[in-house]
Amino acid sequence: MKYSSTDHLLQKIARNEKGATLVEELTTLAIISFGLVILVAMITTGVIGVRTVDDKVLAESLARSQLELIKDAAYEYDPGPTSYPSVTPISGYIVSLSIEYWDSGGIASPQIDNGLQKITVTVSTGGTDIVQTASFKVDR
Amino acid sequence: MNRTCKTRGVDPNLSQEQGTSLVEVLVAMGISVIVFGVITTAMVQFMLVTRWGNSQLQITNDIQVASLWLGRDALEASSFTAGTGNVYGILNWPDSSNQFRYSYDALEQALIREHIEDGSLLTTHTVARYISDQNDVSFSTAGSLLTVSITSTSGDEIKSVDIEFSMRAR
Repeated sequence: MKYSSTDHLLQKIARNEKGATLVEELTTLAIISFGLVILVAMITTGVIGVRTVDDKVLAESLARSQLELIKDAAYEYDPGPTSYPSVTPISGYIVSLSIEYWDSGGIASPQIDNGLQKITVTVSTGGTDIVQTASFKVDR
Repeated sequence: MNRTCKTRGVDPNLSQEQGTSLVEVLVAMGISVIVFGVITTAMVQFMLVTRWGNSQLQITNDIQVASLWLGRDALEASSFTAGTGNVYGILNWPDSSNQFRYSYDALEQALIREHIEDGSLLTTHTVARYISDQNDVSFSTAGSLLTVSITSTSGDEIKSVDIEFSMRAR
């Protein structure tokens, strides 16, 4: 009986044919997982970045509004916490004020209020300070 | 699957060869479905998050740019004259030589700032680009205090802020 040329080919293929080994399978799985982990990390980083920008912009607008309200108000000597108008807060954000006075020695707190105040506005959210900005108010 | 043909006397090794069983095929299919499911979910999430991030950045940028321009103009102005139609109003210098006119562009859905010097238009700026309705921006005054409320909308994302400005020129 003679082998046909097709049988020879079949025979050759069958002899070399091997399935994927466990190591190969695991390597493939590891590469796919690695790609997925990178993708998830990218998404997470993007979300954190956008949230940070969002926090910054809202905090900046709050700080600006607070300073503008104080600039607009009449000068108050030795101001208490409610002497100057305060901005309508955005939920989740805390606006705090600190006021220092000018005297002959320079700006320090507490000193005698001689008609020049250094006003520092700090906006925080979730216990973290986001924006801190300072300006001066003069009695004129 | 048996690819041998014993009657034709093919190498006996070939007769040892066995194909994949139904169980193996089903297990392979099951794993493939899970893997492709995870990949598809990740891709969809990636696109959704990208769209969300893009919208967020657009509206926060609107608020940031608008508040910078308004802050700059209010600093130089001493009064605000409310406008009619698509004009919100005009911020005036004490001698009215320079004016900053804020209006709504319905076609571009944008807040427009025009600088007018001695009655002639000098520059035109788009201050906010995602204002979907004219009523999404409003100007109000109390003495020298100007309050501007801006609502910016992009996709499903909306952000509103009230920003205070003190018109300080005397």
